Amino acid sequence: MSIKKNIELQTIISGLLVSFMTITLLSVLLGLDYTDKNLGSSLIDINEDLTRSANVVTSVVTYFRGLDTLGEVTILFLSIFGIGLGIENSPHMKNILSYDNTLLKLGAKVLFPLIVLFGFYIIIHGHLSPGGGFQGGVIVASGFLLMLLAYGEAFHLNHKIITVFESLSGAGFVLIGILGVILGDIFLSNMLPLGVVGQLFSSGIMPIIYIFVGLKVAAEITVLVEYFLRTEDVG
Amino acid sequence: MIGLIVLGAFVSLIIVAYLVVMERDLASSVILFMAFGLGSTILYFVFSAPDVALTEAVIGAGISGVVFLVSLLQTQTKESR
Amino acid sequence: MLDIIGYIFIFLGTLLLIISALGLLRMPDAITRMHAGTKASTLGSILVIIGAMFLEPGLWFKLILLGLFILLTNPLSSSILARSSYLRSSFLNKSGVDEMKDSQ
Repeated sequence: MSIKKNIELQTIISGLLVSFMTITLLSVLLGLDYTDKNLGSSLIDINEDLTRSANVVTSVVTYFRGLDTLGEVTILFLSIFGIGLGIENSPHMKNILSYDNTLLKLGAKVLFPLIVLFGFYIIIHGHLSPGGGFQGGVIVASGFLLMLLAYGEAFHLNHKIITVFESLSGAGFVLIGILGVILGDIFLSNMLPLGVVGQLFSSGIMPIIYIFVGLKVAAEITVLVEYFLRTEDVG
Repeated sequence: MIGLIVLGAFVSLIIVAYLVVMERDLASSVILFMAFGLGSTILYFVFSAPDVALTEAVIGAGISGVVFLVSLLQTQTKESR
Repeated sequence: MLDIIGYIFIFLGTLLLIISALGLLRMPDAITRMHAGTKASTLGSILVIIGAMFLEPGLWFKLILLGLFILLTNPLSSSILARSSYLRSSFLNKSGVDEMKDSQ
C-alpha cells in the first residue's frame, strides 16, 4: 500500500495549521521586546517599600490583589463543592488503580512525608522564594494522591479533620481581612510589622494569608482526587 | 542559549499538541497531554515565571493526568471514528 | 581545576542521557525500553548532579537531596511501569521463562 492513500485530508489540513502556527509563534518570538515599562515594572519599583517581600508575585497575589485571591479561593471551593454534589461518593474504591504492590507501598510510605514536607516548605517560604499557597497546597495534595494510588481502600482519609482545616483556613483569611479593617484602614491592609527583606518572619500578613490559602487548596484538591478515585464503576 | 531552549520548547510543544489531538487511543493521548504539561513547565521557567512553572508541574503533569485517566477508565479508552 | 572536573562529569552524564534516549527509540518492547530509559537516565542525572556539585560547591546539600530523590523515585516508577506492562502483557517474551508467574 502506498503512503499516499493513508494520508487523509484532515491530516493535511491539520499539518498545514500546525506549520502556520509554528511560523507565527517563531516570528512573534523573534520580535519580542522585553524592555517595555508597564504596570509590572512600576509594581516591582514600589514593592520593596510597601511589603518588604523578596517575591513580587507573592506581594501581588496576597497584598495588591488580596481580595481577588479571596474570590479565587471561593471559586475553587465552590467548584469542588459542585463536583462533590455531582459525583456520587460510593464507599468502595475502583480496584484497577491500586495493585497490591509491596514495593510501591514501601516507596510511597517513604516518599509521602518528603512530599508533604516539601509542600509545606513551599507554602511557608512563599514570600522569599518562588511558590506559595497554591503551589505548595497542590504539592501536598499530590502526596496524598500518591498514598491513595498506592494503598487504595486501605488509606483512610479523615474527612472531619480535612473539613475542619478547610473551614478554619477560609474563615481565617476573612478574619485577617476584617482585622485589617479594624487595625489598619482597609480590608486586607497590612497591619503587622513588616520586618527585614529575606527573613522568614517578615512582610506582615502575607505569609499568614499564604498559609491559609495553602491549607485550603491542599484540603480541596485532596478531596477532589479522592472523589474521583472512589466513584463507582459505570461500565 | 536561552533563545535556543525557548525555540526547542515551543517547537516540541506544538508537535506534542498536534499528537495529542490526532492520537486515537485516548489513554496515550492523556500521557501525551502530561508531556505537554512538562514542556510548558520548561517554557514558563525560561520565561522567568517559576511560580507558574511549579503549579504547572504539579497540576499539568500530575493531578490532571490522573483525573483524566480515572475518567477514561470509567468510560472507554478508544475514540470512536 | 574543579570546573574542569565538573564539566567532565556533566559531559558524561549528558552522554548517558543521549544514549538512553537512543535506546528508548531503538528498543523493541516495553521492558527493554524501560531498561534503557531508567538505568542510563538515573546514572546520567546523578552524574550531572555530581558535576553541578563541583561547579557550585555552595549548593552541595540541596544537590545531594536532589540526587537522593532521583535515586528513590526513578527505580520505583520504572518498577511499577514494568509491573503494569507485565499485567497488560504488552511485551515480547522470547525466552519462555516467566519467573513472576512461577512465584505466584
